[in-house]
Amino acid sequence: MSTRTASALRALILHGLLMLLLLLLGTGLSLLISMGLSAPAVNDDRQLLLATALAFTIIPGPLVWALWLWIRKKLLNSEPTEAAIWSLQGSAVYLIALVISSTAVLQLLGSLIGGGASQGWQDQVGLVLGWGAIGLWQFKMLTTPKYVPSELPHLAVTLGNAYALVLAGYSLVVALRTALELVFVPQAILVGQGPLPRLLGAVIWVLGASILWLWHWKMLQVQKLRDIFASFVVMLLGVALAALTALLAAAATLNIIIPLPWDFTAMGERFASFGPLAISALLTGAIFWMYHHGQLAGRSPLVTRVSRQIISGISLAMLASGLGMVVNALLASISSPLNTDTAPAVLRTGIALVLVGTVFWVKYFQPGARVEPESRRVYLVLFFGVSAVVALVALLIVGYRVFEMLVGAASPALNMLDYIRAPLGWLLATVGVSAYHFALWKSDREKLTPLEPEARRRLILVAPQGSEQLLSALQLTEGLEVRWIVSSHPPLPEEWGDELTNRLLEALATHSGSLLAVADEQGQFNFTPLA
Amino acid sequence: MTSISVPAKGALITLVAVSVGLIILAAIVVSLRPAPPLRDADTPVGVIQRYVLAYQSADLATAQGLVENGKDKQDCNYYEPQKASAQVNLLREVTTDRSSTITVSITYATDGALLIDPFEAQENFELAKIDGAWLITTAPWQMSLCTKEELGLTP
Repeated sequence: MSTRTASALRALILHGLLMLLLLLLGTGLSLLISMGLSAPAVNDDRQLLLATALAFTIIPGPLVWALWLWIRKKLLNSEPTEAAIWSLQGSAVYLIALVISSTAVLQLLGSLIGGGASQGWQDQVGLVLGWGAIGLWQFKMLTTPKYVPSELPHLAVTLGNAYALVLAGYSLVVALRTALELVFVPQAILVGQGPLPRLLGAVIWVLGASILWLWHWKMLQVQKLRDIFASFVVMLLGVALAALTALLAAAATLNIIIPLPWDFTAMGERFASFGPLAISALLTGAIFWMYHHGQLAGRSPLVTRVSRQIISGISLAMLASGLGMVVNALLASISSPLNTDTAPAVLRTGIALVLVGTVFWVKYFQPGARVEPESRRVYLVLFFGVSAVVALVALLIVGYRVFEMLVGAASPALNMLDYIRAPLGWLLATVGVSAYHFALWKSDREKLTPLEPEARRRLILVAPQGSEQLLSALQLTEGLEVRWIVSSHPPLPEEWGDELTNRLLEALATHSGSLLAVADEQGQFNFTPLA
Repeated sequence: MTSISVPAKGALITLVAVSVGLIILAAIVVSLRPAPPLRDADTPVGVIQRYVLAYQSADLATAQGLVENGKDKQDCNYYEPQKASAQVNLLREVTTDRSSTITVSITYATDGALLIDPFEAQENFELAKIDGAWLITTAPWQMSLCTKEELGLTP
């Protein structure tokens, strides 16, 4: 035990050191390359930088090599803990190097397309080459058959895939948003090169991130990984995050369309302010959600179920927030506030959230459908708990504001209802959600109770050898679990069998719970009720 | 819970096609759009256009000529590294007989970076009609000229 702990600790220290040295080496290498590329004009600033670059390259470089020579011998027959530490360290370095080098290369390409080859291109090239080298080396070591970690072997590619997926989605949102803004919300340019480079730069990002993602997804075969971790990462980012984006964007889009008040200029203004962002997020979220939704088929049913529950949770949260806003707006219309502009805006947002939330909640939660109670226990408890906490906070805010008005010298212009309507809306919505889930959870628990093993009666029979006949007669009794413990007495005569069975059945009829029955040599039973 | 029904592949392809189409459409629309026209020199917007162009190309004499009492004024932004890359868009124009306020947005290019939004600022140009010509009385700090007193050169 202690040697295992010691070896795990040693692995932790060695791999931690290796990671630190690799990160230093990456920094030093990229600095050195960018210094080499820029004109060798020496001034004080550059001298300092050059000294840093040299120190960060020349000192960690040989140390990494020596440390790796030492570590790799131990990797050949490593214990599970050490293998897990190796996988974590390698994945962390790979991910960091991938993030730095990929953003640098995309930024470089984007600025090239903009025509304004910037003053910082040497830095970008340095980052790409330096960190690219570190990432490639780490990736090669992680995938060399000799050194593949036995635990978490696919962690690095799974994380790389997740990063590329998020980057591709984000770039697509930016590119679509730029395109929509250019087409539908054009601005009068006075001076400047125009928006085309910005659009093309965003397209470069989309293409680069997609290639990176496809490389992980198809070439490195993350798509084919079926272990629970890989599936969960795909589900959380590809389905849950994409669904969250798509649903919120759908609500924002509806918010633009709903004609409240009936005024098309206001609608146009709303579109100009957040229309492009909402529509681009809606498109991107829908694309990624649909694709990964199909990819969930054939994975563990647990992943599918959790993904459904997350989406139903997101839509329910939207539904509840929307309800809160609608209540808020209704109260506002009663209390006649001074600014007439807020109430319609709040009402519009509330209605949009309620519509989107209801549609997807009904689709994914299926309130009327019969479901296996066991599968949604955690979900119900979670929702009941979270909404209860939010309701409590809202209640505290309502209470605080009421007391504030009662105790303090509140200005008479302040309307009580107007002052508390926002938290009141929240309170009503979350209390509703909490009560609904509590009721569901309770009814599910009642359905589960008959299945509990405690409901069965148990008879523990202590009887000598040869009592099989007695046992087979008892086992026909409904809802009775019989256990036989063999005693050391001589076997009971066979002709007593019926009488003994009758005596046992009689005792079971008079006692309601489980029983311990000990048979003595004369065929008499000693009964003890069990808890 | 029941299993997820796999949605039609067609819908996915349609969405991707819509996205690609939007981007291509935007690229075409933007390339066909003419370059920002140089407006008349006797309008406030035309004066601002000429001033910004002169300022960005470090043509101090022209810039000075468009500013009220501009003869002795100097460029006071030594530390602005991206002077030339700013893009200026017209947001609002409020012009009367004698004065004009023009609201513009000044955006600096981000050198291909996507993860940070381009830095954008809304600023006002104030102009006044002096001897029949529009002259700038106040310019945004990013591209303004200062007197020697403001620069702290003479006490």
